[in-house]
Amino acid sequence: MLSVLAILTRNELLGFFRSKSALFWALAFPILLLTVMLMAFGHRGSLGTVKVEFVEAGVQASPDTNCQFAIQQAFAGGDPVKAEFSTVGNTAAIAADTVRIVFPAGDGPLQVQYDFNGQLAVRAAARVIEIAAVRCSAAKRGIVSADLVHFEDTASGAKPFDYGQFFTTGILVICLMSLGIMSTALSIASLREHNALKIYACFPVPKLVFLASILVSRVVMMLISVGSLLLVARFGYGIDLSLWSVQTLRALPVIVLGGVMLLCLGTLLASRTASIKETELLCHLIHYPALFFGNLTIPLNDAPAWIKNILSVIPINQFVSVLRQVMLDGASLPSLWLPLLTLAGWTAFFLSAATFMFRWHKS
Amino acid sequence: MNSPILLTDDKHGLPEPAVHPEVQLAPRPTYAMEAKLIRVSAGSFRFEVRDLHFRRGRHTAIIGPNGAGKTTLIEALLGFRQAHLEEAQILGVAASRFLQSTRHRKRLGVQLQRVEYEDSSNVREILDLHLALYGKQDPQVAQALDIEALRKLPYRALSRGQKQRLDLFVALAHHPELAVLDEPFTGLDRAYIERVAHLLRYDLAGLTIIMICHSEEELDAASDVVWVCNGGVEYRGDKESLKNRLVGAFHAYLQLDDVDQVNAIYHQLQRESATLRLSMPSRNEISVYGTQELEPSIRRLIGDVAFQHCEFGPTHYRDMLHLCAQGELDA
Repeated sequence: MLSVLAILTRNELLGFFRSKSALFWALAFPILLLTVMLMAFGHRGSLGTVKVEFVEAGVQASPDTNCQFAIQQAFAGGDPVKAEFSTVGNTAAIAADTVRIVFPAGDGPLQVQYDFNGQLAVRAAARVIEIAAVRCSAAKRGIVSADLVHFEDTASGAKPFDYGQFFTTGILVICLMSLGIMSTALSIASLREHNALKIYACFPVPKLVFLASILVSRVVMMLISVGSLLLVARFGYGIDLSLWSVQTLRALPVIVLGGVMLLCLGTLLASRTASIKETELLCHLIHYPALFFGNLTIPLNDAPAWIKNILSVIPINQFVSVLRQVMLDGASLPSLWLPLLTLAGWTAFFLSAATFMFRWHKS
Repeated sequence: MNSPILLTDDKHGLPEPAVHPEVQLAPRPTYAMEAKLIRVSAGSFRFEVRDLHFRRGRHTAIIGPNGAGKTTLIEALLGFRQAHLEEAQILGVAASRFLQSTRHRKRLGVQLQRVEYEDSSNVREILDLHLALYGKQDPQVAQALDIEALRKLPYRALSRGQKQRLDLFVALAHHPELAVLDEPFTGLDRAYIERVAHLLRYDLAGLTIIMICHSEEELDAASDVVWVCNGGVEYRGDKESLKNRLVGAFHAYLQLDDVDQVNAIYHQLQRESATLRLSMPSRNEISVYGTQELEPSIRRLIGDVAFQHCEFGPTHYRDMLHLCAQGELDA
């Protein structure tokens, strides 16, 4: 029966490599999504990029080069917002993503011009400029800002929030969901709708071998898809992921466990459905809420605590949480025994239910 | 309707099929498939048949009009459709147990209509799977269906006929003890119809084959017939007996301009004891089936009346098939 399993698995894999749509969704789409998300939100804890304009030297009364330098320095870290500096005439209109700085003629105040109801990044940039200007002004009066305000690093050990890492891990789970739930369920439903499962039902192939071939082949597809996404994220976009490390090695069983869990869920969804349409509906009922509430690409930091508590027990949320802890925070597997055991429990439940409920045909 | 008809005519019996070693221990069942009762109910559709059996080593054609329940009957027996089955057996094993056991399913071959494997698959992969499952592929079957010509093709590139050849190969290549075929000649071109007909009639003569038939060629390959009609089975038995019962041995078609004369001839033929089936396709046409004894009467009529057009001669299985497909029963 091993040879039958091997052939069924090989056939599934060859079909995957031949199918342009499967290749697009498994390989191209995750990279496309990552690109779009990075373009929208940037990489590392940044709200985005803002244009900062200094009014031209000939127009302004007295250019203050010290303050200009101090302002530029304030944005050097790109945290929480990045800036692109330029010099313009003060008659030009101010764009929505721009903050303009006009230095005073004498002892007048520094003018910071921006849309008060504009983008968050612009408003944050205005505040960064305010702090830099106040420091600069204080320094002119012989006041050292550190004597007035002292900042203390309470280093919690938590890594700074990095959109690049957040998106990569979230999209990785989306990619596994796509292969595990959508692709698996629709593939089974398509075989059933086109009567091929009736023929399989007459073949001397046990149900478990058939289901195992789907699981094994799709785990391989998942690993290929995950590998390509991580390589592009690391080397294409320079996201801080240590691919060749013990950390990644530890993440591998988590990815496989989560992937198998999603595959079993996909098989369960398609275990009795009579048509592709019915299966699509069931998949969408799982897939789209998971996209929005799974903490995958939309951070749920501001959600009320009770919603966070509810969401934390959902298998997909648990999976991405464990994955991030292992892959990004460097947590060891034994320290995560409880969430890992829960994931294994969900997997066992979905697998048992899928095996028990699976029918070759409608009756 | 649905009265049991005992099959006693074994004179056309074909050689016994090879017996799988694991079933030699048990006494060999007479029937390849049987059921005391099959009852299917789906919406307004009702189908019920009692004491149905398909003889071993015979090729049985299931015939009848569209929507009569031919596919329903097969699907109920194979467990594809919810049905109430009593004492249903396949190759001597309770049907439910047979279908759950991979060991028993190895003895079965099935070809169904509208089966589509995954578009991204390849014929070679389906053939490899078949070989891995059954461990053998008869070169004669492969040759008859010219499977080698399909081996390298992607599944989505296959035409309807090529898919049918592949489906037939998957059903027959391992020489199952029981093959169930749903319209095996559908989609095949003339040349392959003849090759498959030859394959069924000679090379696979020893197999038990149950096939849903719509064509004369398919019916020619069968020795027994199950006529499904009016929500049940109207007849089961050997093909020749049903032909004799429905259309006899002689058929005549007569055409006249004079409607009164047509009516007179119609009533005359109605009184003939040799007449089995008489109809008027139009006001000036008569179609009559009967026993061989009808021939002299028709010849006399042709001598006496100047028919506008007349045809007569022996009946064929297609006449029987045509009548069965119409769902008529007045015999």
